[in-house]
Amino acid sequence: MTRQILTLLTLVLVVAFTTSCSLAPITPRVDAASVGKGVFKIENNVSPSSFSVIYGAGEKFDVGLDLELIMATAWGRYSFFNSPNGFSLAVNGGVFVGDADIKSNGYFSGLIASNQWSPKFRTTASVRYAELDYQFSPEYDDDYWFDWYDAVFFDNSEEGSANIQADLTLSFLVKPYIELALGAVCQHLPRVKDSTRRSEGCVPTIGFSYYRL
Amino acid sequence: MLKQLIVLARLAITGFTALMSIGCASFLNSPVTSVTIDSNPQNASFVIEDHNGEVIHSGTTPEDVLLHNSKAMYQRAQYSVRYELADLPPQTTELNATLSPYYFGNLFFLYPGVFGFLVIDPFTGAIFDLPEFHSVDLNALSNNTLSNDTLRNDASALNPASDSITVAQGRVQ
Repeated sequence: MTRQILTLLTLVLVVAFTTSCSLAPITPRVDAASVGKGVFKIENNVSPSSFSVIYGAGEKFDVGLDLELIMATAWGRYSFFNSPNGFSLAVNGGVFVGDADIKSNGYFSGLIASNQWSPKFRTTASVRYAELDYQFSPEYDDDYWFDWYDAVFFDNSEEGSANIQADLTLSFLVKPYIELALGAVCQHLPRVKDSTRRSEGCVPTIGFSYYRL
Repeated sequence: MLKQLIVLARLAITGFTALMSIGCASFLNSPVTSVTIDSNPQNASFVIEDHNGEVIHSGTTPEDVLLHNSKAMYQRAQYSVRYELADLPPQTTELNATLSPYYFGNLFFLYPGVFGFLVIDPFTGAIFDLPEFHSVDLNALSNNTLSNDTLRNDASALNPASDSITVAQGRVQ
């Protein structure tokens, strides 16, 4: 048990220090299937740090609330191919607002596909497009230590006002009510024409999903 | 220098938030418990009812039964188990969950914390524990019944809220 705790602690520490933030919500989606009508699910990402509550508003329609470090997102997901034990395909969309050292707000829509390969393993791929308005606090500029951290800071707000993100996640059922999600999320800012300043990059993702048995 | 401090501060906040966000009890405990329902003598039939009085399981002792530790967020599970065996008086016992010591790990360890304490562990139900063994001595109550029989003319010995009512009902059956 002690070894498990130390392993988990080490993993969390390592990943926590690779966490990034974005002008648009960066929380990866880990399933295209609905959680089920009337069912709650909690998703808790360590990287990027976020906390989500998901509720099955209908048989194929879920609503969720994501809280990231600097941003809150309300979203909905409709699973038009809804097969929790197989392949699922969903569209999602939402609105977000961030009001910390970076002010940002906008909306996004996207597509999610997932396949449950076995009762304990699932892969999920997602792509989404966000339109947003943002404003940096004056003390920030591009001079940061880490490229991944530098990636989202721009002088021209128009350049960063479109954001394309894609994520790929591998989900492992580690307990009957807990899933471990590992993957990566990448972002691209298509309106940035200067390749030297183009913000493209990926960050690792790690999170946990909690179900109520 | 100031910018570097800001970056470090943000990393620290990120890490701290992440470390606070994992439920201790959910990882170290389980929201369901395999409870061995037993009796003396064995082969008694039993029925488990939940807090709403709905029968959720019936069987014969001894048997392992999976039971939820909670009935809702922050609400411990409460069950009643009714035993019946041949000529012995039936008995009903309470089977209640208690707070798991793992839950308090959220307070004392570094990596669990606020979210685990307030949301995750209560959500999964892992903040509570049920005893892994639940047994009743059906003979003991039978002996008590015999003792009470000697006092049955004493009205003060009959307490409607006590098990003697259950025993009396059993004897009628």
